[in-house]
Amino acid sequence: MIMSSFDYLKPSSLEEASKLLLENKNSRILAGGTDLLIRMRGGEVKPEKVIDIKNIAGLHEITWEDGRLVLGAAVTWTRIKEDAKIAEHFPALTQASAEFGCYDVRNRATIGGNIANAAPGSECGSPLLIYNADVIVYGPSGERSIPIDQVWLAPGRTNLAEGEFITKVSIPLYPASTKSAYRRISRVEGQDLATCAIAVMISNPEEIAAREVRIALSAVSKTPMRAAELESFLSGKAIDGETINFCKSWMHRNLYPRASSLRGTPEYKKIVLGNLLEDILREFGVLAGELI
Amino acid sequence: MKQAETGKKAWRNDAYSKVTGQAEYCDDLKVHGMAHAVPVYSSEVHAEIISIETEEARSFPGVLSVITAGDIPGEIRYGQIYKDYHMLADDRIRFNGDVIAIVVAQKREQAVAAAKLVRLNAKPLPPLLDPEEALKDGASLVHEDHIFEGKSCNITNHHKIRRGNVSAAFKECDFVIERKFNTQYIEHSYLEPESGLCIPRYDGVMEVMGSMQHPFSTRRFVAAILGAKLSDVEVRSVAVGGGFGGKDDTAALVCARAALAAKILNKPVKMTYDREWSFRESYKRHPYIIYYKMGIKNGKIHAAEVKIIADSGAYCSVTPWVTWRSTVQCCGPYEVEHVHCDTYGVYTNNVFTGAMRGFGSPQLNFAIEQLVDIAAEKLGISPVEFRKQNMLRQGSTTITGQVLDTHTVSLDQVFEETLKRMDYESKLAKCSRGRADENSDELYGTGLALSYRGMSLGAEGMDFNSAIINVQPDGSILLEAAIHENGQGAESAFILIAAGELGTSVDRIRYRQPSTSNIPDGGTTVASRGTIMGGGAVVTATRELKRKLAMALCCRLSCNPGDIRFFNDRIYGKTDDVFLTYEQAVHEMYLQQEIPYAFGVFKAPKVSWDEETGKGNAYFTWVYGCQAVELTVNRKTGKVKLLNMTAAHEVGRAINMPMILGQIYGGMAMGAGYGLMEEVKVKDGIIQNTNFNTYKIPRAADLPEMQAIVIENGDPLSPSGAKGIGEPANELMAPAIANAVYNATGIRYYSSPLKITVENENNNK
Ligand SMILES: Cc1cc2nc3c(=O)[nH]c(=O)nc-3n(C[C@H](O)[C@H](O)[C@H](O)COP(=O)(O)OP(=O)(O)OC[C@H]3O[C@@H](n4cnc5c(N)ncnc54)[C@H](O)[C@@H]3O)c2cc1C
Repeated sequence: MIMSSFDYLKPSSLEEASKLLLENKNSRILAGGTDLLIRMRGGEVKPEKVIDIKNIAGLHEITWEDGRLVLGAAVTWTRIKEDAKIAEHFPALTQASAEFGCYDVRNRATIGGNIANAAPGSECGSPLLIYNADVIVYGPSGERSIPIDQVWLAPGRTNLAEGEFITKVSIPLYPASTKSAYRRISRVEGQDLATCAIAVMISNPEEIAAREVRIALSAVSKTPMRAAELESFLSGKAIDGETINFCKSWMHRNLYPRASSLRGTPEYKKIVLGNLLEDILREFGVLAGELI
Repeated sequence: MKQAETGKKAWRNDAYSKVTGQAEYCDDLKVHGMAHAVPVYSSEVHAEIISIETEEARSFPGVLSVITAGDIPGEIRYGQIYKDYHMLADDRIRFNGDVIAIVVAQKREQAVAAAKLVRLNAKPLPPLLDPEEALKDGASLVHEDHIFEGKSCNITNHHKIRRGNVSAAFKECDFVIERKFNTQYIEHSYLEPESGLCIPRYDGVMEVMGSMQHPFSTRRFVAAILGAKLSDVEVRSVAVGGGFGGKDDTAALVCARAALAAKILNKPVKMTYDREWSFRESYKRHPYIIYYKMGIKNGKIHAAEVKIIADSGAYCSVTPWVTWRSTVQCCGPYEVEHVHCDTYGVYTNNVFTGAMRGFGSPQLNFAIEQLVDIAAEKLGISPVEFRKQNMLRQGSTTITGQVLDTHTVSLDQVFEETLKRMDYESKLAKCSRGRADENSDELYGTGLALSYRGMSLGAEGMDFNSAIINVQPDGSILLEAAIHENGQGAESAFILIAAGELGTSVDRIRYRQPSTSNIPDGGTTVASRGTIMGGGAVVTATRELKRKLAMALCCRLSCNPGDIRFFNDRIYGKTDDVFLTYEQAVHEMYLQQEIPYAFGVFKAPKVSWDEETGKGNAYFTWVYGCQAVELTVNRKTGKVKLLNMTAAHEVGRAINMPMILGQIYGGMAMGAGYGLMEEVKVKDGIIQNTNFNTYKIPRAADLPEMQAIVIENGDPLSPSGAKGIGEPANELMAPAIANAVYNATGIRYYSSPLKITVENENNNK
């Protein structure tokens, strides 16, 4: 039961939505509602106005323009999962969509809501980070673009200003030779949030010197994070057993997952992320020689 | 022995209404003028209550009443065995789920909002959370007035088995295995949380409807809180969304509190629980600490010394009964000559624990079936061989001295059938035992577990049941037994049994909606006793009806009463051309001023128990089961993938095959949850995961293909021939998984759920 009473508003333009947000300090955007309604039921948030953005034209679109994929904020995870072209160019995002929730939740939950919800283990986190996505927001001073690594501040907190909301996510396309993947661990198959997850992208996999490696980790920090130190360590370098072992020990030295998580101990997460990284690199075919 | 045909079609009297959503569960019911009650909890785990301030809540719009213990006209404390449960807390908070007040309002929203305004002034006391601490002399007392064996302590009960001489026997053993096991709290996870609707009726009766497994237990709680006579309370059944043993104490308490509010306000009151309240307050499966010492001599289990500590939490509920079964079955389905067992139930300030599907056996099986595998490995023989050397067979003597000769002991059958269906022994040879193939991170393992299980209550309690069969003037039949439909299909089983006895179609028989004012108390719907006890009563009642019909109709049918035959939906004389329809038969009886009505009782055959020595014929009959699993464990992530689960169970006679299969599949699934993922996490006495986003139960995607083998050996002591399947199906999968995980990884896990570690975990600091 949702205990607080609220007005339900359904604007049909960006301007109107932003105006409503600005005028009503205690208001919330509603997309799929799969986070919002749960928090309202739990009494954690009690908005006086709930502003449904699903009536705004354009927010449901998936477009390919100027070498970028642009996802409207209200695009659901089901649509991401079923889009063959996304799978071709951004396999990590497709793999994330396959792990996401379950059938019925995917039908409602949106990419915009997932970003705005700012969970440390959110499914969009690591994939959008490795692809250097931009989050397009609309607000009182019009449209602006925020690089994905600046969007999240803390669990549940984003960099959006008052009256701003997410309208799109824009992701640059990469050369066909680029490889990327996402792996997540959760306690059960049926439906669970990530215990931890990792996304890896590697450009120019064939030319060692020109290689760029990107690694992002979820559910080990306050926000999904890039592992910059590991990236520079791995980039432009032949990867072998020793390199992998360094990565594994890096995880041990540099990650501080929350000990109170119901989903996995810090020790477990650190080991598993190292193993998953190894797994992905092996699958990419960039591992030289056998492991010790 | 007969391996039953499992492809039969399902029949349920309630299928249509449940599939179409027409069935009304308690919270669906609405009555004119109905108010809503909600519980008020406190943040305390253990505290002395100084005062409860209700003024602010009372003045909240819509609030009709805020009720505390002082408003109870009857008994404040009640309970199934000890009257230790404060239906509303009066002197102390004993666990975090204690209810300090109930708020009643016109709307549920108002009651929920006002509940937050009730204030508790209390003096926090240090909580007692460790059952082993609670057992020690000088531990603080959870119930100051509780006395056990003459002294104030936290022990709720102590069961013993003293068989042979263990200390001498261990000296004779080739080797002795000593291990400690821990099992976890789990939640029943019934689909429908607790709900009760109480209506003060014009005739002075308090009418109660609710989600419960035992209307008569609810009636006792309601009568106690109201200070009313049992006949002044009528509990009527409505559709129930599952129980798994979990719809007794708490379900009854919810109804009792709603009745209290209804009585005080003199208006209908409904109280429906949120999932979070249900998780917080309702009883769980007991966590056990098990110290087990098993001695092996010449390939036989020669001696066992077992100490069991069961955390009863803040209240006793049925802990003495649950732990009694653990005691009786503490060596599993094996012959053991020397046994010394001490089982304690102990109060703590944790959430209370009570009945749950399995009732004390899942915990013990988790230990025993792993120990048996450990012993086999030490002996260097296969776990299959070792089990064959030790298992109970026809005429065997159990550890309580019961000779198994009144029914077919089918342990070897369930075992052999499982081995055959799984091709188990060749799979056992393929297990990874910690070494993966070069190209794979998946470690393969298979494991199994065996059990025997005493049917119904045994020497735990009074065990009898009744049924009423009542033929109407048009020949239609009303049937009722004192067993409750919790969603498992009890009513359908009884209709099938009656139709079988009478040779009628099932359409002729309608199950009468039960009420505690219709039929005598037949005991609770637990212990897998529904079909065996209720079905026994149905058989007795239908046979009595047939006797009456035969006496009255023999003249009309020109034969002796003994010649009358019941088949083809009619009543026949000596030849097939002489018959009466049921309508004609009733007419004939009415002419003779005879009523086609019968009452039947099935009394469980005699059982026995000696509390001091643990000797006795604990149960009048037993069932036998075997479950096996194949799985892989990923050595890089620790993730378990179940590949196949197979079960063989002996059920006596199968009444409704698809329902049996449903019980077996569901039981294996719940067992897999117990073994791998389910755990109510308690921190400082407070439950951390109170909904299914954080309390994980298996879903379809987590489960593999399942196969069920059903073996029929009609039981001579069961009038219908049937025994039971509900709990046997739920007590084996966790140890089977633990054995399979060992065979895959080479690592033993002594705690459930298994928290699989990955390579280097714990040594890579
Ligand atoms: C059963 C279940 C399973 C789940 N499984 C997963 C999972 O596997 N992985 C995972 O990552 N998450 C999971 N979630 C969480 C949730 O579904 C996702 O975070 C989802 O993407 C949220 O999207 P939504 O459209 O439903 O957001 P909403 O609930 O509508 O909104 C979420 C928050 O974001 C705000 N918001 C929404 N849209 C915008 C916008 N365009 N601009 C600014 N603010 C906005 C809302 O005000 C609210 O605060 C699960 C949830 C449930 C209930």
